[in-house]
Formats: sequence, structure tokens, C-alpha cells
Amino acid sequence: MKVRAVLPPFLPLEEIERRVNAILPGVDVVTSVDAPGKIPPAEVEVLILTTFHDFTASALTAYPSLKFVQVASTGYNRVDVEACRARGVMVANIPVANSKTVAEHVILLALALLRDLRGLDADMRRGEWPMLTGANDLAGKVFGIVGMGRIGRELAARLVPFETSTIYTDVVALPAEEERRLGLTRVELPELLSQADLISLHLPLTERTRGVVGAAEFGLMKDQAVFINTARAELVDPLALRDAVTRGKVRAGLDVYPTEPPDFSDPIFQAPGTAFTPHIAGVTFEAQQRFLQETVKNVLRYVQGKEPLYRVDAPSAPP
Amino acid sequence: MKAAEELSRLLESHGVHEIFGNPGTTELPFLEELRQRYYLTLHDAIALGAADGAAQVARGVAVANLHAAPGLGNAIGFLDSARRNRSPVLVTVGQQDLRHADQNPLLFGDFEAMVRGLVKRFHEVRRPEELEEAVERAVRAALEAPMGPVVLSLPMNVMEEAARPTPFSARSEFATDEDVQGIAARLRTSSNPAIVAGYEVDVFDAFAEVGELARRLGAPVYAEPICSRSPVAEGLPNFAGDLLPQSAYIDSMLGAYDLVLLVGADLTLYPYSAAPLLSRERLAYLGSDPSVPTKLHCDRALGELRRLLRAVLADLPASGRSFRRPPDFGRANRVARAASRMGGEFVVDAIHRAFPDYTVVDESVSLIPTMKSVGFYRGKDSYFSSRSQQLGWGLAASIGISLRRPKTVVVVGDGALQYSIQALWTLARYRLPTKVVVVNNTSYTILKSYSKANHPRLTGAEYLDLPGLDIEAIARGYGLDANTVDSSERLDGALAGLRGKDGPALLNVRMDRTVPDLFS
Repeated sequence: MKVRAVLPPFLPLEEIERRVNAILPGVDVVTSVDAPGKIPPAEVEVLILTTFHDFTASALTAYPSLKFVQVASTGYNRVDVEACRARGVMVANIPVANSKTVAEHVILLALALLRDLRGLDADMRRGEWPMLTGANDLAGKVFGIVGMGRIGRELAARLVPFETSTIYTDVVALPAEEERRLGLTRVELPELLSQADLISLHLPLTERTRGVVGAAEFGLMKDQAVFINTARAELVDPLALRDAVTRGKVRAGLDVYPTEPPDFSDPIFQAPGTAFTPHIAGVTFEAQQRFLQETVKNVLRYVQGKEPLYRVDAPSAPP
Repeated sequence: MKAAEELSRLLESHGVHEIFGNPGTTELPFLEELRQRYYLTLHDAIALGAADGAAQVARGVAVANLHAAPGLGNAIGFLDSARRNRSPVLVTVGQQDLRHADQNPLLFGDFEAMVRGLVKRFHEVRRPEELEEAVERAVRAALEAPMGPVVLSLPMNVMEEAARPTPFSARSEFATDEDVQGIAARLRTSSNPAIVAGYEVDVFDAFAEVGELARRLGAPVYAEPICSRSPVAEGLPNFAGDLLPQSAYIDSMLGAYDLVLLVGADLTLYPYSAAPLLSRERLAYLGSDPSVPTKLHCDRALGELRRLLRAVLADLPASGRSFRRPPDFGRANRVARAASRMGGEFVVDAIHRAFPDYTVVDESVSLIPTMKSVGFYRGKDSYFSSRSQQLGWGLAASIGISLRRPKTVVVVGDGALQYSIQALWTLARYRLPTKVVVVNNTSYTILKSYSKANHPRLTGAEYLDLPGLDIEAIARGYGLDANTVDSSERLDGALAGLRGKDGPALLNVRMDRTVPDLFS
């Protein structure tokens, strides 16, 4: 079985190649989709990708033997799944490796903003000893989760001991028993936006969800609501976000940006009530280990003749 | 015809088809001629509690038959509950043969002295010709607003004598007070009114009128403190929750309103707080109980509640204001957090889901605030508890309630259960299909909670614990189908199993022993 892994150059490629080859001998590790590599693209049957590379319909034409694309991340929007499906190429992601990691990151951003961590830290570094803050508790706040997939559920589970009033919106309701376990109440998006003190996005990026939060949606939010996006920047109208944040309408914790790295001259980076991280919500040492492990396991399933898990090209796949 | 038979006939003419009691020798002359079905209870107090429940749900007279001075003495606590519940119970007490009363014979007693202050009317029938008037006056007194218990003493010898009927015409109707117009005027000029609704809304089936009043005023509707019956229809968007009985809490909840209208409601206080209750100028009362506006020194319109409300609404345009209770999204979190330890929020949520169409008799004691917060107020005859907070009332009352409401579930604490445990036998004996859920935390948790706030040295007192009670075995001993559940995972299934039983059944729910902060 000819397997190629396209990984970003900043990863420890030799180490990864060594570990993967111990299980899957002969895996060809390259840093771009069109790299010649040890195995010519025309002969590759299994392609491992990350979120750092596009895999378009035209790139697909260079892989006439391709049967299976394994994306080693949760997001797979850079793969032209429709083109793959038309060619009969299976596509799978790894939705299980960093759900907990992202959920923890959301709580980090929430607490940092509620407690004004940046401001207090800056005061201390200036040698100041502030006696008062405008900090808020997380306990008792209405926390709105937009999108109740794996990450949404992990976040909800972590919010239970924080004693938040957690509401969510999703096209599909969780089973009632699961809602009870997680302490959740399902509402429509406008009610969530208007009732929540904190709002966190956990939607996949699709044509239906692109720009789902715009000026009207920010207008519904409470003043000083905490808006957190660790999902995809394209879910949000960037101008509306900038306007809401710079006017002080909402506080924002952002991990994703329309271009990455972003344009740091954007006034949003100077606004108070903000916290930024570099698209790293799902990236911890432990999460990377799990991605590698789950990716290899799923490719092994395919190599052994079993259907891969987590297919996103199947008719029943999530939108 | 003996006087005893005439008595039975008179009671039947007032819709009394069952009698609850625990007889002794002094009652046998009456029982020999009885047309009604006699429900035997194993203790006099339970007979009175059962009649209280039956009277409340029937909105008519129900009869408890007690045995002489000892039986009446046993039931005095329940008589006080019937008084506080405004429940039209007619208590008949077998009296010794009066022909040797001067010898102070066995079982003889001065019943009038025993019930003084607890009943609306007492009469000892000393001659057969008094019987009809005595019954008519007793029924009328019991039913006239505010309703309440009455006692008839029935000497053995009089019951054995020949009846000598003397026709008597009783009139029973409520008057509407002209003060209604004054109340309506105050409502029209109020800029920020609130409504406190009470048990009379259910007694007089005034749910639609309360809802309409709230809508027109754009006002919140609070339940009176220690509300014993559903004060609102299910899902009323204006319903803002229950008031707590302490004056400081009442002030903090109602202090912002310029007019607080009590609608068939009382402001019951406990424990003491130095905070003075809302000033009389901000209060007004609509309802049938003159003692409430008298103690509060406030404006009033006395009468049958639904008529009063209709009269007020006839003169009250919409205010243009609106009020809608904010959603309580936090409840789901509290339920989820309580799940792993079988906490109160979790257990009550499961009971609420398991019995959506049942009448609930609530004697869950430390869980009553939780019970009330989850939505057991579902309108007519949906919820009953004792206004006296007497332990043991719930199980006894459920006997009478379940005669008219076969779908009745009693939620009772493990401590409260023991006060009228013999009621289980009556449920089993007559196959009354009541379901009993024992919320068992093996302690007097309400006392522990009070101690925690006010007497912290007592929180660990061993006499506040109730170890060693095998409730399942006790219930089986009385003839009930009984089970125990002690894990969150099995609770839903166990409650569904309880609901599915044909006859009376009990589920012992072993739950969290954490002492809640109910008084701090």
C-alpha cells in the first residue's frame, strides 16, 4: 500500500516519519501536495493531509490511483470533498483527538476575559498593585454554545462544575438524557445570542454556516458579552466583529482569523476586552500525540481492508 | 328510624358518600346505621387527614369519625392542619352516654374545650330533634368562606333514640363586597403592581381570572409563602416563583412594587425576622378570609374569589405593561451536578418527569422548595401540601385525595413518613392506587438545615439522624408493593416501574445526605 503524508515543514518530520514507519513501513513524508517525493503522486493510494494544505479538484487529478484521503485534524474544509466523492475517493477526518483540548481553551479564554487576566498581568509587570477589578464570576452566567458537536459536548461537560446556565443551539437536538447529563437547554440562535453572557462558536464551516454571525447577531448580544471563536474565522463577518469589539459592545476571545497569520494592524488587536491566541486552541502536546495515533490507526484500518472511521464523504456525514 | 340513620341520610344529602375513621365503642351506634362507605384507618389522626384531603379535592364536606376523647385528642394536630388548610372537614366524635355523664365515665370528655380555637363550629347533639339543624349549621359553617373544620359530638344514647326530624333551611352563598371597586381603582392607578396568588385560586378554580389579571396588569405573579395548592395554571408566563415566609425575604422580593395584591393568599411568616413586613398602604386583599386583611391592616374585598376577580376585571383596562418570567437556564445545570450523588434537584426532576399527569401530595419537607421550583403547579387539583407543615399529613390526606384522583403520587420524606405510616395499610386495604415516593436521606434534614444556619453546634446531633429504618420492609408489612433505588442510573426506570403498578406502591429513594442551605 503506497501511503503519502503531507505535513507542514515546522513539524519534527524525521521523528514523525520514524514513528509512523515503525507501524506503516514505506510511508512517504513530504511537505507539499505536489512534491515529487519517494512515491510519485500517480501511484499514491492513501494521502494523509493536515489543515495546513489545500487539496483541490485540480490537485486530485495528479493522484489517479488515490483511494483514501485521511485528514489528520478535525477541520477538513481545505479538502474538496465533493471532488473526492465524485471520483470515489473516501475522505475521513479525526474528530476525536482534540475536542477536549479545544474545550479547555475556550474556558481559558472565558476566564481570562471575565477576570481581566491581561489587564492584571500588565499592571503587575508595570510594578502596579491594583486593588479593584471589574472581574466577574463564571458561576451563574448564561453560557451559550453554538453548535453541539463533539467539542460543544466536551465544553458543556466542563461547564457543569462551573455552575453555568448552559444553553445551546444546533440543528439537531441532543437526546433528552444527554441534555440532562450535561445540564443543557436548547434554544434558537436569536434567543441564545440575546440571553447568553458568554457565547462560543463550535460549528463546522459550510456554505450554510459561513458568516452566521454578522452585525445583526452582534446587535442581539448583551453589552459586554464574551464572544469566543475557536472554530473558523469564516463563521463570522470580520467587519462586524471588529466593529462590535472596538465599540466595546462585546469582549472577544479569538483563536482563528480570516488570514493566518492575521493583519496585526487591524484595530481589533488594540481593543481592550480581548484575548488572542494563534489558532492553537486544539494544539497541545497531548492532542498532537492523539492526532498521530488516531491517524495511523485509521489508515491501518484501511490498509487492513476495513472501512475507515470518521468518513466525511459519506451521505450521512455531517454537513 | 333511629337518629343514627337520620344522621347518615342527612350527610348523604350533602354529598357525603364515604367516612374515614377508626371506631370504638362510642361510635358503634352510628356505624350500625351507616349508609356511607367506611374507610378504616389505623389511627384517628389519619382519618382526619384523609377527610381533609377528600374535602379539599371535593371542594365539599368530608367526614372523619373519631373515637371519643382519646381519638379526638390523637387527631388534634390534624384538626389544626385542617383549620390552616381552610378545609371543610366535618368531624363526628362519639360521646359517652350522657345519662351518666355526671359520673365522668370512661371515654367521656369536654370536647368543646378540647377543640376551642381550632374549629369554626362545635355542637353536641343532646336531643334527636336537634340533629337536622345541627348538621345543616355544621355543613354551612364548614363551607362558608373561609372554609374550615367543624365538630359534632354524637352521644351514644342520642344515636340510639328515634329520629325526630325538624326541617331546617340553610343558605350557603358568598357575598361580593363593594370594596371591589376600590381595589380596581388602586390597580388602575398603580404604576408597578405585583400579584401574590394563593390556595384559594385552586379552591375556587380562578386560574383563568388570575392569568387575565396578570396579563392586563403586566405584573408578576408570586405564590404565597407556604402555598398549599397550585396558585396558577401551568405555564403562566407571569409566574415569578414562590415567596419565602420570612418578612425580610418578602420585603426583598416585593419591596419594589407600589401595590401588592393578595389574591386568595396569605403572608405566612416563619422564622422571625426583625424586618417589618410591607406597609399596609402597599397591600390589598381579594379573597374569602377576613383574618388576612385584618392582621395586615390593608384594604380588602371579601367574597368568593372568582366572582371578585371577574368584578375587578370588568373595570380594569389593559395597562400596556408586560411581564414575562426570565427563563431559568440554571436548573439544567443544577440537575446535572446533582446527578452523581442522587441530589435533590436530580431526584425531584426525575419525579417531575415521571408523573406529569398526577396530582402531587408534597410532604418532601426539605425538598419542598425544589418541588415547587420545577413546575408541579399545574393548575386545578395538581398540587397539595399542608399549610400547617404538619408532618404526617401528606400520606393521610392522600387517602381522601386518591378517592377522587386515582392518579395521585405522594412525595414524602423518610422522617415524615413515620408520622402516619399506618396510612399505608388503608391504601393497601382499599386498593387505592396512590404511589408513594419516599425521598430518603435518613435524617431530619430540615432541622439540620435550620441548625446549620442558626444553631451550628447541633448539625451533628445524633438525634437528627434516622438510621436503621427498613422502609421497603415496613411498606411490605403493611401490604404495599415496595422497592428501593439507590443509583442515579436506575432512578428513571424505578419511577417508571412505580407508575406502572396497578395498586398502591412505594418506592424508597435513597438519596444524597448533603444538608441544603434553606435558611441562610
